[in-house]
Amino acid sequence: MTKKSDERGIHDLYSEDPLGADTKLWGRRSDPITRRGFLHGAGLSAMGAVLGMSIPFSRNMPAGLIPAALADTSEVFRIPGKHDGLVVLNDRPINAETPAYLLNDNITPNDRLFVRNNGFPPSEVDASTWTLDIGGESVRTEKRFTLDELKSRFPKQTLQLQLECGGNGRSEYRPRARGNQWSTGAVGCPEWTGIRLRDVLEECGIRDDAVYIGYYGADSHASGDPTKQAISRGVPIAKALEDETLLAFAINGGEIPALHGAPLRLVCAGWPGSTSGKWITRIDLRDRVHDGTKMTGKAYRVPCAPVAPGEAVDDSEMCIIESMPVKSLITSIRSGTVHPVAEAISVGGHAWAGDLAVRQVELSTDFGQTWSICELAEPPNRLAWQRFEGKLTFPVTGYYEIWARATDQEGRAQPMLVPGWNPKGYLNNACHRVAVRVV
Amino acid sequence: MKTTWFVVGVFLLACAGPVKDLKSESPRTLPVANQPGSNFDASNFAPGAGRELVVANCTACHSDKLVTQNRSDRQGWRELIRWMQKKQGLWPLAPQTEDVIVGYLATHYGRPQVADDTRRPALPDQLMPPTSSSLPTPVLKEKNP
Repeated sequence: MTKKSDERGIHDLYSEDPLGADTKLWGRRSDPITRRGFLHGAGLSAMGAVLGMSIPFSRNMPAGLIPAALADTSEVFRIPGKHDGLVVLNDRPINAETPAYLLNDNITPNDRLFVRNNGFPPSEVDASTWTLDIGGESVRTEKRFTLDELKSRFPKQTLQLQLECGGNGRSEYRPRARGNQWSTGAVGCPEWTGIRLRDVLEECGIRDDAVYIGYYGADSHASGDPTKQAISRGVPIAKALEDETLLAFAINGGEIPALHGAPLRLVCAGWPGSTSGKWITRIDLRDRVHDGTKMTGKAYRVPCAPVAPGEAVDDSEMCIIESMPVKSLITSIRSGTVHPVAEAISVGGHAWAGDLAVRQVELSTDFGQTWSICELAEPPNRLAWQRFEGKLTFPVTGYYEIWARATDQEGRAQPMLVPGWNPKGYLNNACHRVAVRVV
Repeated sequence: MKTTWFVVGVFLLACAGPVKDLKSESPRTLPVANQPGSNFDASNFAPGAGRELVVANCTACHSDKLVTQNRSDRQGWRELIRWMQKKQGLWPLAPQTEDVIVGYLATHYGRPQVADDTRRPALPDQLMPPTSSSLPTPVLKEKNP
């Protein structure tokens, strides 16, 4: 089976098929005769929104042209509702990460939460008519709930839960793995409000043979094919029934932004972000490992046994990623900072460890030869990231890298090198590095 | 990066043990320009245009392995030739000859993409601080965001 990835860069798309790129990116259709303008205005507002300005001479704009403002910024452009510093990795579907220094808040604000889409978000979302179906082989009674029923019938939960893309850190793998070249910023820890998935599933009845859940969302496949799911993943039943696994309808005390899965999404913290499905319309209780889109093949899987960099791995040798590995980010200092040698530097950030807690965070200024232990806060609740703070001094002026290394409660620490290569470039938890020039 | 690579290459060259001690050999008869030839094994050189010139001009003083274990781009190989001419007694090369040699070396022993040759890439440019020479003399402090 040959599967063409739909995740592409803007130049890539335009160089291949300019008219097609217009349609895919913006939904733009131009006049078929003149090849100019925007037929019935299709795509004009989308392009204008990303450009941050209207396009006065849109009538004359040739089809298949990358707006110069985007072409010149080498794929980095602003998404409405997102912080200016968010780096746009991919335009179609929109994927964007947050530079580490913008993630200093203990609770990640909406505009600093990374965006990862596998397909196109639903264009029309009406919370008043939204429904959730519970079904599958292992459900006792199939049921349909309106959003209001979910909100009123089940106890509300508010938890701070971290989400991280399974491919966060992919950009460091060599040979390169295909996909969005996330550096460090596909992670965040907002406060979610919702209900326990367990409560809803138990209301319908869980048969003894249930092993997995599989979700379905209202997003559409990037090819536009309505028969295809953009993504349909899930988690083993044990993870689905945890206290912290939520069906969320609010974030940071307000509505979930459209890009983040309004009006209803899953939050399976500590596991690859793709298990936290967005725009959820259906959840199946499965009597087998869920086999939806991006559950099979190499998607969100790593080799069951370690392989050499670049080695070919058969799909049958790939295992589903479950809990994410221990990791940390220095967020109080912007990499590239200049700092006076006479002053100590305060270094703060966050550490997290998938399903586990973080036991210790250390910092090094000498490329990992010596480490000093930081103060580390308890998480506000299970599966939230933990704040660390340390103070460092520099012996002489020069170029330094501050490295952070976290250790989870079972003693596993972040490696200093990029960990085991895998075909899709998942799970890079190499210690975070921040460069400082000391003068 | 280019300089680093070049230095590594030179280091290897200077350290190449069993071949011939290029540095310390004191009263040394320099090969003469009109007598190129092969004194050392040349069997490792990749086949291709320019191979004969490389064998004739390089293996009079050292083995092919000293070449084939290194990687550099055209500029790097040219700099190495200059260094050998300055320090190691390599004879002058006609410009056309040098171009063929450099072309052969860069083609068969070219620099791999640096990014594809590492277990942990250096921090990208946008995360690097200013260079020390670009900073004003009085101590400058940037407030954290």
